[in-house]
Amino acid sequence: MNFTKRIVVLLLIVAIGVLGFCGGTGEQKQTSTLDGAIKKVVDDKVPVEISFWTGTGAANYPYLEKMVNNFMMAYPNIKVDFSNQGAINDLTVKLTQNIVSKTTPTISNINAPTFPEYIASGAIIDLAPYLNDSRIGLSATQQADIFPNYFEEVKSFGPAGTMYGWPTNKKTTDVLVYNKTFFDAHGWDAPKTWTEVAAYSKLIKEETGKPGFSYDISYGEGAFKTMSSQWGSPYITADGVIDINNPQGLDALLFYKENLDKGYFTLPPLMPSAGGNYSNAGFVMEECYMFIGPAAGIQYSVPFVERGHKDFEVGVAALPQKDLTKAVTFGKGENYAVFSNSTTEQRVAAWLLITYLTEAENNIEWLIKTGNLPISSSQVNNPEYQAFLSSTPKDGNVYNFAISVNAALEMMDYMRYDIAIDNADKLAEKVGSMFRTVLIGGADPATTLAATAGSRK
Amino acid sequence: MKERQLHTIFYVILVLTALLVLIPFAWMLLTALKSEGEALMVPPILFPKRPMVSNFILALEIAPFLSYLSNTVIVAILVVLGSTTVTVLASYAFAWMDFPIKNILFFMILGSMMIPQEMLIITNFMTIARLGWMNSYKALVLPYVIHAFNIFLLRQTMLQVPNDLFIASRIDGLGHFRFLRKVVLPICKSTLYTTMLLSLIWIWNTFAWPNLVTTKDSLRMISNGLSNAFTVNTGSIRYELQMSATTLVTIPLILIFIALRKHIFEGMKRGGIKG
Amino acid sequence: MVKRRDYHAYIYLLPALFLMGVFVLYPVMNTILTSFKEGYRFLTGSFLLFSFENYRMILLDKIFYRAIINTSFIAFVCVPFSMLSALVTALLLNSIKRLKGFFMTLFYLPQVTNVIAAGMVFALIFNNHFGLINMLLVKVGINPVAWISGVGIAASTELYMASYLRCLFVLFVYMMWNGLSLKVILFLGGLQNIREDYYLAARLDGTSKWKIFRKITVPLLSPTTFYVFITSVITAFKAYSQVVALFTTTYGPAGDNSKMMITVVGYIIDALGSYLSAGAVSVASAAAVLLMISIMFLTAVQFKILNRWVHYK
Repeated sequence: MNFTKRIVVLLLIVAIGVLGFCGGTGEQKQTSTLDGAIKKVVDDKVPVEISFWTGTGAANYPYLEKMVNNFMMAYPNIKVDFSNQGAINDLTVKLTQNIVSKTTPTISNINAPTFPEYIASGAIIDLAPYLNDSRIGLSATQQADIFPNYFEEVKSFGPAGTMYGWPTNKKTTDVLVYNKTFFDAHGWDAPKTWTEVAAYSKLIKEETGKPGFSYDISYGEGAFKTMSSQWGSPYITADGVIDINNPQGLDALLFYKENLDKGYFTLPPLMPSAGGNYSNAGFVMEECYMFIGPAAGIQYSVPFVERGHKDFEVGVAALPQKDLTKAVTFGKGENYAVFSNSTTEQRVAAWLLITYLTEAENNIEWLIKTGNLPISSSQVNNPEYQAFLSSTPKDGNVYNFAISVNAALEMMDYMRYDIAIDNADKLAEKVGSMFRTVLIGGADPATTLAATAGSRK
Repeated sequence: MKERQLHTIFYVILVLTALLVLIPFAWMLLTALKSEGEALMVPPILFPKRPMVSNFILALEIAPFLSYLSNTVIVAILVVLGSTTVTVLASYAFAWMDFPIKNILFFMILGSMMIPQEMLIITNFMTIARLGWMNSYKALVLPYVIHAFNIFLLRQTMLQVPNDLFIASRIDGLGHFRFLRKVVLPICKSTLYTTMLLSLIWIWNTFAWPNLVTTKDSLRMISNGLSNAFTVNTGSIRYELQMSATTLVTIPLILIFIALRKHIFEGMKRGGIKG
Repeated sequence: MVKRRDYHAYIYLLPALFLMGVFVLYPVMNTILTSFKEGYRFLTGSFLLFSFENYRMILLDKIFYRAIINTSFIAFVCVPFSMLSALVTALLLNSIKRLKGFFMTLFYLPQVTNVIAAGMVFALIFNNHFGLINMLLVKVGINPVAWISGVGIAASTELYMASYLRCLFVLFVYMMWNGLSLKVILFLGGLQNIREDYYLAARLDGTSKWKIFRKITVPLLSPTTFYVFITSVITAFKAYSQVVALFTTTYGPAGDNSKMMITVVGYIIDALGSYLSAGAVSVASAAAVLLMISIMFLTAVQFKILNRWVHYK
């Protein structure tokens, strides 16, 4: 019949159109040997174009842009297409999509949980050959200059002897923020152990009726991970096995719960002015007198009387510990990765860029303006940076960043990195949920902890 | 007498409802005028002490506003033009033509409304990337040209055109296309403008797709360009600037609505067989 | 009447069908295919085997059923209420003589209000400590209600249900606000399509206002009402951003471990995660397919039942 023919024709048109799009375009990348590529880029100054995606707050982007422009002036034959792609989660999804469609940039920031799968699928390259190259690599002294925890982290993503990432200058960590005026008035120093935290909190509660201590819960698992690790739980072993349901973890949980139930400790959602995940809005209203939160967020923890806050001076200290001989704290921050969808020349250029971005002199302005942590001793010892670290209250906001960074630097020796495993973000979500439901929802700690460890979705 | 009382009650109810409906918009506007400290105050205050009109200027300076706006306008115009064409043709076919598997096809088009965008995005991104259309207007416009909601709406309206008009047009010797142009479209003008407005709002607010398909700042639109423009280091947002930018962005939409208002709500003044 | 076969309808439909083929049909087929791949890894495209495993996992998941309940609440409770309010508002608006345009613009504003701003405002209005609602309650002498609060809900079922009901109420109010605006515009448009002559003729005959409403307005408005109902239910089934704006990505108050307010699309998004874990994309695909089938089934039912009551001419 006539109309059947027409339908068939119609559907054929649609199908052909659809199939036409199925032709993959796989550009084959020319690859030279590493030495050849180095010669081309550094000696012959052959023009190379690379693209660099970052995910940083719009306020900080200009400083990074400046650093990239300076790089291009130092290496005129390398052109960097630099762009800001939004928050790190958006950026990661974008990158994942682009890997499949083979349209990745040359370099990007990525966070730890992303590494295992990217490595397994061959999406990013091993940077060890570049690190160890005699011409463009880092000498032993230079390598020793980088803080070990950051260096070990990027070497831990792949098998031994490989290095799949490179530290960015966006490292931060949690610090203890406290009401210095109140503490000074009572002759107290910043607490060094959890016993002290609990004792101070008890006294604060008795005197002011308000809880003494709060813990930010924006990273989901942050509080439980740090505390249970301090109590001795492996949390995630070096082999990547999750071990959170053990007596030490339970003890840590019960410790917080006891103090919360007695009103000595609190959490952001329970403070009238805070709500949500961050304690600072409650802290500035003296609804708590100490809290643990991100170092880079210090500017929001300083009270401003014009905004209706209370009036006091802020102090920052290292995190309290369970056992001062077995101190534990965790660092946060992204790492660079170079994608395999690139020529060797592009990879050489990318390596030159990311090492440039971590060199001391280039970073000082960035570090001072953003409050991110230095990643090498030479950055810390830089004279301008030392001046920054010695800021006084009359230097304004710079002082706040300085005391935050100082507190973080105290912890650098025992700072750990997160072991990157598959599903790390799912774990973080579940642990965060467990923490909140036990402490706020009133769930039974032992059974909830066991259930969280058991579910592996 | 009763009429007047009734009308007064109507007005009162409308005013109350309108006030409730307005609250979020009013808050957005007021926050745009607050200082940085005031925007963060807890408990939040309603009115800023001194309206800071400078926020609007600052917001314009920080983000390449004009670029985002012009991109959005270009995409919007292209989408409205394309989508209207596609919609008109398709709705007319479903309303006034008869052909095999008509209902199946209509249901298929309806079906495209039922799929969450999140699932379509992943495959569509691959398609766009394979075609090499990343960072292009084509990629931003084409997926939005097909809008089943509009086709459905226009089809409903077209079905309301009286049969007599159709018969008369046949008698006059008009084919389908002339009937569509000369009779149906003028009658459905108000719905047509409504569909154009709805497409426009859709484009203005859409975020996920442009975010994926544009990696260059030069092609960003208002929705995804501004989403990150006012964030500080740890992810905290400068709300007074974010709201200023957002308010500025709604102004064109409000103006367009006021302009189109008359056409949408005009009603079928002419409706006679004469025509 | 002679049955015409307008084959050039296919030409009229060609652009729509072509675009649909590429941007809707093809992704849907891809999604359906992926939903049967067990252990699918997005980056490499590899998977273990074709099976129903993804569907099995979803259908055994308590949280999926929670999502269905919440989504149904939005579709079958919030939608009818907001439709009714919108209809009444549109009728009122249609009857007044002056300031019509002004009110129309006011009701239009929620369409252009930034979603984030709206979510924030509602969170503030319902805030436990200084929200507008609680301030009003206190003024009237009622105790303030902890609207979005999860204290103690994991330990006691009564507390959980109470918290759930309060959250549902907040969601209800938000959906009413959200839904009113567009529906009012659509109903107004539909009212405009009813020709003046009908009203004039009826009034000349001396018909009562109520009878005019029943015999003229309702039937002639039915195509629009039909459209609004169908599209509102479909949109309700895809609800996601509203719930996140109110309850954050944990889909519930702090202290809740059960993703209290999750919707089906929320379930899909969570399954997707960062796309990287094995099976993430395939489970999400399966959930999306289930959603699609449900909406199609429901819409077909609605068409069958309601089509009788729609008068086009």
